[in-house]
Order: sequence, then structure tokens, then C-alpha cells
Amino acid sequence: MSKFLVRTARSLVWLWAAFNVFLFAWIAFTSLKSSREVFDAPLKLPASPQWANYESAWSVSQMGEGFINSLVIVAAASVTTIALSAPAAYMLSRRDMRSAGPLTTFFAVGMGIPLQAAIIPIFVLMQNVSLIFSDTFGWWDDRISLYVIYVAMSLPFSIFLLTGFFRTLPPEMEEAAALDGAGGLRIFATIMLPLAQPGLITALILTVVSLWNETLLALMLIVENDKYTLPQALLGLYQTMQYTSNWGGLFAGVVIVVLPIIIVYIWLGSRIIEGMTVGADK
Amino acid sequence: MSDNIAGGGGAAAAQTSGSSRRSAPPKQVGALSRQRRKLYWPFVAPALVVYLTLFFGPALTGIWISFQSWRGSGDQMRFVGTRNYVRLWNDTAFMTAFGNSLKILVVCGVAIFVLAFVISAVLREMKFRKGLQALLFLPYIISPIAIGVGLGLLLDPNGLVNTGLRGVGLSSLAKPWLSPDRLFATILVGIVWVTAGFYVMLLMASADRIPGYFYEDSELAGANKFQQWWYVTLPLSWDVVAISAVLWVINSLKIFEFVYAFTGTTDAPPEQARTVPIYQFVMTMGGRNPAYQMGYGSAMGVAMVVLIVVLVVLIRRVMHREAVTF
Repeated sequence: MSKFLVRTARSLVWLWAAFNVFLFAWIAFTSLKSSREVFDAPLKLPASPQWANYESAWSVSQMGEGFINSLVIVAAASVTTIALSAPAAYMLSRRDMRSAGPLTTFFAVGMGIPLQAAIIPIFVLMQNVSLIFSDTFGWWDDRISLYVIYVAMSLPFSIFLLTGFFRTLPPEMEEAAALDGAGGLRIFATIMLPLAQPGLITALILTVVSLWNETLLALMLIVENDKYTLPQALLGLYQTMQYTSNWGGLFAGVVIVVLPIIIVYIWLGSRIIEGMTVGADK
Repeated sequence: MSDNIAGGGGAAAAQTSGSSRRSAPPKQVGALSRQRRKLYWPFVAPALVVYLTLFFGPALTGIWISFQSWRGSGDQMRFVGTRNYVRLWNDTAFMTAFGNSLKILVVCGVAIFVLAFVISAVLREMKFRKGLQALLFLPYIISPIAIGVGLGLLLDPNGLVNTGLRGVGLSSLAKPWLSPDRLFATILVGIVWVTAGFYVMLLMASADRIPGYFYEDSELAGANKFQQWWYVTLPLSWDVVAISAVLWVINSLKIFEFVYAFTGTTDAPPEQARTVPIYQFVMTMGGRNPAYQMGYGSAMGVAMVVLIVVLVVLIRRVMHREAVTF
């Protein structure tokens, strides 16, 4: 009985993995098919690859603009997140001040607060910020709103991760540098930051991956088509599909959204997995 | 679903934050500590200010707004006491959404944890385990919108699944998978498929820390695979199981994108398939003519937090055990 169960479970794992491979391959092939082929020959390889699908998704359906928007917003927000969390996490991990422990917990609480609890005040707040800036300077861009909120909502996890990481760094090097007369700022910049690099990179990747896929806030804060992020642009493309039936173009859009993450995953997958299990795996 | 990455490890925070304090520093380190003290606030304050004003503060304000009747900026707030909460209770559409959220929590939760246990138990000794694990995990970090579009075509009335079923003579099994009545069941299966890999990974990471001689010992004692899992793996990774359960509570209740993605060509999913986050979106900023019921929407947000707190406390109570050290 036990043998049978184990064998069944193993087949399940293989089937599951195979299905995932199949699904992504199928999406890639579908993105190169003409609309007729999509339904007539769903399992066949594309007769002649329709690269025009990508052209249409990229320029006609504004996935190109979405790509640039997402790239800039996500990159800026992720870098800012790490720039703010690294110094904070370093101090919180060192426990020189009595408030360090409670503050560490206070940041961690943010991981348990669902975005839904804060999203309405955030929406109204950013509306007001936008109004004030438009009135006084005559200009505001909703992408800036999205950027600052992305930073704020990424901080709890990033600080949690980095505090844990700084804590594992041995204090001896800091102490030696202090004996040599280096100031606190120099110790942080020239000794701690380089030592913490693996942790910083992990935190950065995890922030990038989660923000790249974020859709709810973008839907709420960004109204104009040309400012859409990539998932928003894909949703827009999905909605126009009912008139165009251009499944190939839609799937080209899916590939444009998915491919960067897959590349990052193949390249740095073990880092992602390590970072995500760090909380549970003390 | 991968916006939930940010939830990773949240549960562990309270545990780790209190521990691993180094013993009192020797004398010459006092200078270092003094140096750091001077920089403490300049280093911590920027992150704290951003987090307070743009996330934690708004969450607190949400509680206040939930006691108001308000249509957003420009509208006069009117205090209505607990009326929004009473309305939640009597709103059948909300109750459907709430029930659906609970279904995701419980039905998908059970399925995901059973699968994760079984898979992590056999995966340990399989060939290509790293590759297989990576493949199972992959959907978790892919944009849920993209996955929704992919599954949308796969499960289309004339999509690959139905064509395939008809092709092998099983046309009776070909169903309109995305029809309003069947959509939610489809979504439940989809969530299990996307999420299980993440929990497999968590359990594997903890199982990897268990020294091999425990397994060798139990094998000598004649334990089969199931007994090994029951007597060795499960007790020794119990902490991680408890933390995973907390993570699932937090992550499952806020699922938005994955459900929204199945909307495809309409404004919002049909009522039968809505979850609390979707319903909140519909009642506030979603759709072509947003309803802007800010007080009501905030009450839903607060209800979610309350549910999360209650469940997390409950899980901690129920799953708390003496730590097994090894």
C-alpha cells in the first residue's frame, strides 16, 4: 500500500511539473500563431511564426509603453526600498537602542496588514497630493504616486529580511574598524554594506518580482492609458480582445509580461527561493 | 499571487525579533555602540516615516473611515457609527464574497497542505528534485493576470481542454468552465495549482535541515515512508508548518489579481465568484462608474484584518507545541 502511494505521489509530481512546462510552452507557441490557428490547431507548432503579433502587442496595444512604465516604476521603487531598509535594518539588528526591538516588530506587523485595509485612505491621500501639486506647480504624475506607495508597502518585508541578514554578520569586523578610528557612517558604507551584499540582492529581487506583478494599486491609482503598468496594459488588451479576437496578439502580451520574470528566475532562482523561505526557516 | 511574496516570513517576525541578542559588549566596543547610537535615528527615521505615513497611518485611518459615510475627497464625511458594519452583515452580496474568501481559505488551504505534505515527502528522494521543485514553484511568481489570460483560453468553451475531451470521446466532460456558476470552482483549482509549489518549497526547506541519521535510524527500525514522515519529518518541521499556516491565512484572504484576471472582458467577476477584496474594489474604485463607497469599503478592510488576527491567534494556540530541538 505504502509503495503504491509513493509511486502515485511521484507520478503526480512528474505530471504536475510536466503540465507547467507544457503550459508555458503552449503560451509561447500560441503567441506566434494566427488567430485561426489558435483554435483550429491548438496543439500544433505555429505553421509560420507570426512575429507581427509581438509588433501589434508592443505598439498598437501599448504593451511597449506599459513595459517601460513598469520597468522604471519597479526599478525605482525597488532601489529606493533597499536604500531605505538597509540602514534601518542595520541599526535595528544591532540593538544599541531600547526602541530597536519594538520597532523591528512594528515593521513586521506591516506584513500581516492586507493592502485592502489601507487602500482607501491611500487612494484619497494620493488624490489630494496630486491636487495640491497640480495647483501649486501645475504638474503631477500618478506614476509617482504608485512609486511612493510601492516603496511604503515593500518596506516591512525588506526590513524583516535584512534585519535577519545583518544579525548573522559577525561583529568582529565592525569592532576592528572602530578600533582603527573609523566613524559609524564609514563602517556602514565600507564594511557592512559590502558584507551584506548577498542579502541586499535577495531583498532587491524579491521586491522586483512582487512589484512587477502588482496590479490592484496600479488599477486604483493610474487612470490614463499611456501611464498603465504592464499588467494593466495586459488587462486592457484582454478587454479589447472581445472585438478583435486576436488571441495571438494577446498571448504575445502574456509573454512580454512573463518572460522577464522567467529570465530572472532561471538566472537567480536559488536566491529567490532562499529569500522566500528565510522567514519560516530560521 | 506573487504580491504575496511580501508576506513571506511575516509570521516568523515576532519570534525572531526577540531572540539572538548578543551578550553585553566588552569595553572597547562601547565606542562602536556609541558611534551607532548617534546614527540610529538618521538611519531608521526615513524608513519609519515612509512606512508610517504611506502604509501604517492609512491603515489606521481606514478604521476611522469605516465609521463614516463618505464618497471620497470633496465629500463631507458623516459619522454613522457601526452602520457600515451592520450593513455588511445584512448584505447578501458581501456575505457571498465573504463565504467565497473562507472557501478559498479552507478548501484550497486543506488541498494545498495535503498536496504540499505528500509532495515534499516523496520529493526528498526523487531524481531531479531541485528542477522539479523549481518547476512546481514557477507559477507562484508569474503575474496572476498573465496566468488568468492563459487559463482563460485553455478553458474557453472551445479551448484546448474541451476540444481535447471531445477529441477522446469524453464530450460529456466538456464543460463551460468559466460560466458564472462554475467559475469559482475553477478558480479554487487554479489557486491550488498556483500556490502549492510555494508551500512545498517551505516544507522542503525545513525538511532539509533534518539530519539524515534520523531517517537511517527509523529505516533500521523498520519504518515505512509514511511512518518516517509521521514520526520524523512532521514533528521536526512543526514550527514551519505552523508558520506556513499563518502565511496562508494572510495570503489567501487578500487574493485579488488571480480572481480579477478571470473577469476578462467584463468589469468585475460575477457575484458568485467574488471574494472580499474583489467586492471591496467593486464598491469603491472599480468598474466604469465607480461607486466610491469609501466608508463601506473601509469596513470590509477592517473586517479582513479582524479575521486575520482572530485566525492567527487561533492557529498559534492550536498548533503551539514544545519546540523540538535537534
